[in-house]
Amino acid sequence: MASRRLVQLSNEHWIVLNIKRSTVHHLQRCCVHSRIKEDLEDENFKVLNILRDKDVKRFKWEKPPDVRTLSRADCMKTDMNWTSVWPTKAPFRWGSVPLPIRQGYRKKEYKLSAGKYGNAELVKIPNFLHLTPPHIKTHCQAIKKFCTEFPSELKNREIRKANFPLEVITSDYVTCGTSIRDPRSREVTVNVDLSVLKFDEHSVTKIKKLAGDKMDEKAMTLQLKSDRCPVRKQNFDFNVYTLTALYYESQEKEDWEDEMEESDWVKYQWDKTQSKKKILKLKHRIQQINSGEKTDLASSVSKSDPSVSVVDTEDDIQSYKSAFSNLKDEGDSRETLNAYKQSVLKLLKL
Amino acid sequence: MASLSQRFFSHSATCGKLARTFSTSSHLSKNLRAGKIHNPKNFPVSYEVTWPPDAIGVKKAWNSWDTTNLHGEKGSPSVIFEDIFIRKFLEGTFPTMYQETTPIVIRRRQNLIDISIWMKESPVTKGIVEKGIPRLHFLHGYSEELLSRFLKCPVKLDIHCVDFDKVDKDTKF
Repeated sequence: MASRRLVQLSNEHWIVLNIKRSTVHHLQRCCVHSRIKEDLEDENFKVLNILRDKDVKRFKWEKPPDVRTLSRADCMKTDMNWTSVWPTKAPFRWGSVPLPIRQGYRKKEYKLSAGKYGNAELVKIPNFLHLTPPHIKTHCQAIKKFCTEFPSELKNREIRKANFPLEVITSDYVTCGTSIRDPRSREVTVNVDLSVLKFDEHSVTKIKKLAGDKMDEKAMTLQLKSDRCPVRKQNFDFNVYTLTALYYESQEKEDWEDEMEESDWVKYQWDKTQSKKKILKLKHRIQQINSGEKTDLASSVSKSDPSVSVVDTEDDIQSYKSAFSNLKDEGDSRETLNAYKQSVLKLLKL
Repeated sequence: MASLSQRFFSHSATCGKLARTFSTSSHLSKNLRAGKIHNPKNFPVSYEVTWPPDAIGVKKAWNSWDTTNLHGEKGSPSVIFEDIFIRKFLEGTFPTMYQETTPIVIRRRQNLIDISIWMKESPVTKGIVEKGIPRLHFLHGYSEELLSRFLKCPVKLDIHCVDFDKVDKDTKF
């Protein structure tokens, strides 16, 4: 009576034991085993009971899976190169994506949505399996030889702004049709930084009048848009033409521009107004009173020219000028009125 | 659309009742006729057939993906016509392998047309092994070539061979 018995030591290692079975032998074994067990049990030492150990499972031969029925994803290793599996944009394939993806709606909440096998919803949606980080890394490495380094001097934004004042914005349209042309691509927008050009006081006001809505007065930038010509280049040329026309037109001064009245002024010019004369007279009078000259008021005004003795570059007059023109330009608010009050108090020395 | 609505409003100003019938928002009432399935014996139904058209964009995605479907784009009639032609053509070329309940997904990228189609696995692998697979490969190349000649642009055909019994079991409702 001889039999073979397999004993599992750990998960993968099996040992084969040839055991002779006879009644006497069996009895002997049992006795020996019980004696050993008594001796060793208190030392936390497990004894291998070969014959009586019923926990040992019978070895069952499992059929290995058929290689032909396995999909590509099943055979993939964990460290394989994904870029070689999915090199370009492609529709989802359930056989080559080793991810447990699910898509779809289930009425019953306890059920999982459908898996990837034969799932049409996963194929419908656009996937980004060709744009994983290793893909992008390899793409960048391939393109790198065609690139040049960005000039370090131009990293400063202000220097870039001064050197490249002209910004041209165009847009291309990619459609799924057979034609590569799109009528919307003819639109051209040109942004110009006017701080680079030379303007005096007159030409600034004139270009503001001429440009109208196209000009951002605070930032001093000009935005020219055009889609009137059929081709993009023509539109760009038209924009540049309008820019040159605006600039040279603003530099010129026509004769009739001097005939502007106070109501036409864009900015309040204090020097040209009656207010300046009156203030100078007042200042002159105050000075006279302070110095002790007691002359007739009417004669002093008519005889002596106030601008001789009073200079308009004095502090109080300058502050009055700025406050008053500010009030005229920006309208009456609490701040402007307060500034005006302070300047008047300073002027009258109250 | 704007001119139409203007005309309508100007008309509705004269008779006040019409003004209530016109609404510019998307309609809430669903098409109750379309997308109904007759399945008294409760056979497994594919996911595509289960949901009616109003579930498109909610529970299932579109079958045609192109830029003309986007807001404010032109040229959708010609694209729809081409899509119908492609679907009819593929149903005709794969009469035994194509199953009607599955969708034919047509995606367009620039001038490339990317088509995905599902085929029955069983006649290819089990039934006529010697004839089936070469025939499938021939029809694959044939339909790609002919479609690209008809539509005057490159066409890519992706055939997904699946066991539909297994799929239905997986997505049973």
